Amino acid sequence: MPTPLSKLKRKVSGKIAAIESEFVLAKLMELGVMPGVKFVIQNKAPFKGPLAILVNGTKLIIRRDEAKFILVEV
Amino acid sequence: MSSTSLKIALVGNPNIGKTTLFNALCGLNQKTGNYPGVTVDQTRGYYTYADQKIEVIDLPGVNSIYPQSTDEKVVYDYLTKSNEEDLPDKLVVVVSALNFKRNLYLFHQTKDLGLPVVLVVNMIDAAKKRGIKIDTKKLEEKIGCQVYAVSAKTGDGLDILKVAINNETPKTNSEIESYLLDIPAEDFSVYSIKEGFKRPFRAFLDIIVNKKDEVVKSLSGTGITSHKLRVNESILRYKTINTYLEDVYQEDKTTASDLSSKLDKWFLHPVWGYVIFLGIMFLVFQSIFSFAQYPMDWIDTGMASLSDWLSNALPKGYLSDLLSKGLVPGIGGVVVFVPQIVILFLYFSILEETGYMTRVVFLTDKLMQRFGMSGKSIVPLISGFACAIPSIMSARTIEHKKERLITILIAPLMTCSARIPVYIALITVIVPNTYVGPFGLQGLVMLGMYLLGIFAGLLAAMVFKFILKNEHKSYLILEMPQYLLPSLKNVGISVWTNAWSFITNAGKIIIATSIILFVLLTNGGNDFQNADQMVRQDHPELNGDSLALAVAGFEMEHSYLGVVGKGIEPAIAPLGYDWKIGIALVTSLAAREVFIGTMAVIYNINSEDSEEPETVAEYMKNEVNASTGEKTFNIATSISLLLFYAFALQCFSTVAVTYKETKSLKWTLIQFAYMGVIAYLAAFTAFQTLA
Repeated sequence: MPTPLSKLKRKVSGKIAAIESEFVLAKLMELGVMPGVKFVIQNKAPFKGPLAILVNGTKLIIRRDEAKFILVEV
Repeated sequence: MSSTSLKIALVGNPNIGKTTLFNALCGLNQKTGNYPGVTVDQTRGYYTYADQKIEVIDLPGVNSIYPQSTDEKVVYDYLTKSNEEDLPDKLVVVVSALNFKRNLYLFHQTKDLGLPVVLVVNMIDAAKKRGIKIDTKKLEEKIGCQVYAVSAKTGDGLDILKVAINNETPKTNSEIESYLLDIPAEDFSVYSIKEGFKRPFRAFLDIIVNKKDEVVKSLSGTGITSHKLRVNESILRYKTINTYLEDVYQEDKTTASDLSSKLDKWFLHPVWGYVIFLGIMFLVFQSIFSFAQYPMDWIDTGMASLSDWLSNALPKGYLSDLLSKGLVPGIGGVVVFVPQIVILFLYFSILEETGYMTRVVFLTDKLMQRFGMSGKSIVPLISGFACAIPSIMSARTIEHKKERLITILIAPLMTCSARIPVYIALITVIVPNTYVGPFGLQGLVMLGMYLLGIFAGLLAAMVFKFILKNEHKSYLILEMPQYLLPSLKNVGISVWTNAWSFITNAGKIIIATSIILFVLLTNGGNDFQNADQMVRQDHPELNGDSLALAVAGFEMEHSYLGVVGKGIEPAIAPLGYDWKIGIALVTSLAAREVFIGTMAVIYNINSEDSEEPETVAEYMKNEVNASTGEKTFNIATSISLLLFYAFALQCFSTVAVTYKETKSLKWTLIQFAYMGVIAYLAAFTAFQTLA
């Protein structure tokens, strides 16, 4: 069952299942964040701040608002 | 020697050592765009190799050819110029071995432009240490392009690259046909020719960037959109990369040490991350005030002695007065804060080089959103402590229009280095040099001025957040580079170019205003010319030294500049300023630091034969208001002045840069006006309460 990336805790890893927002889809795809790709959540900023995830060996900052639309399989 | 120069452009993602490569190729032979007059969109440099002169354009780092931020638009516009002659002779695409797969994406896009392309794999030294092996020979076969592995930092592989740049590079083949989805390739090339595009990929980019959904519909005969075409292109490009990646790239996980993740446990920690950030900021500002003090004192007394020596050594006359009492003190006022600028730029370039700045973006994003900005605004705002001009320009990386505009509007409220000499002079005059515990009182007041600027900036941002309407939803997706040791060469070049352009640009303004000031202060109308006679008439009791002093004062009051100062006195009297300060306000409209130069010129003219070389602060301390008999720079007036300089936008260069970056006269005027109003009100309230 896919869950939104924003709900996961630090150090959790998994695979990206789908990106459900047209708005950030193109931008994420270009950075290599696409269905089937593995990720690890490395850091979370306090007070519902952004997440830092490792994808394809690259560390990315993603705001929680955008992470809601990234569905993942843990 | 060949007279025609070869033009190359460096293209690449952010944080891959592109600027290091640029510095390694060109050294100090470059023009940065940080200051007015030289504000250019790209950094340009030159070098000569084997009798061939090469012009290098360093384009801003981008993740994709599709523009979202202003920075990315610069790259897109440059690479898709319709006039073939304006295009570079070849593109050097730089990728980092540490971020190989993702960087290859931009390479494939760039390659499809159909220009001659050389691929440079940078950071090969750091990659080796992390167990990464890249087979460049195999990569060349796979992508049909010359590949060179270099380390721009150590210089490894640069000679071979230079030879390759000088040699002929074949044009690359466009693979655009693979990304057309339902559009038949022949139909697309017919469309591309009909629309006048020289290369099919240009037509493709044009469709996507300008969202020409109708064209996509009619060409494909299906309901797909330009957005779908773009997303599909990304997926297919990564698929292409995956087909050969394993053959050319091996990573030995056993030797890989994940230092960055370990460091981030501390630097991005929900508590320690912020403690470390504040600690670093404290260290930066502490250094500015403690370390810089010594060289500043030397420069200050040195300039005062030079001025003194000149007035003794040169034959008495108008020109030697201009030199010793106009120019030298004026220039001294600027040169004195070069040490602080150097320290500031030194720290900032180190923080930037190590990759720490993006960590601050991560830590502050949520907070900055409250003020209508994003974490990305933190980099411009912090560099605003050095100078508002690079600060406003670096807001280009912010994609969201509203967030960028707010950042630009409040950036000049951050205490820039040009305010430092004004603050220091005023603080030295009113704050005693005592200690509160381990801290110097003057330093604490200075710190207060910095906090005041930040506070005012955030308050203004809040207001703009409510006034401005949101056109689009904002987002933050940003790569965090791995931590790297800063390259000494990069730091050195950054400090040198910034400090030097500061000296030359501020110097030009100061020299010009000093000369104009001096001329306007030593010439005047009828009253000025008959000063001697008129003073004798009004005060027949005076003689000798006191007569000379009275005449000099009368002359200054009736000089052209004195008349201007007197003219605006009614407007500034409620703030506690006399006409002499009025003159300084007028002259420092162009640049704040001119205040000190003006003070130096005004007070030097009256001090005919000072025995001791004096600094500007000493002159100001001793200045007495002729009409009230009280000290001119008393507490009320000085605090009022401090507040005025904290808030008013007295910097023509900033006004020019805001206009250039926002392309809006409206916002340029709003910025100038809102800061002016706050300045006047704050100064007025302070003086009226304290006086």
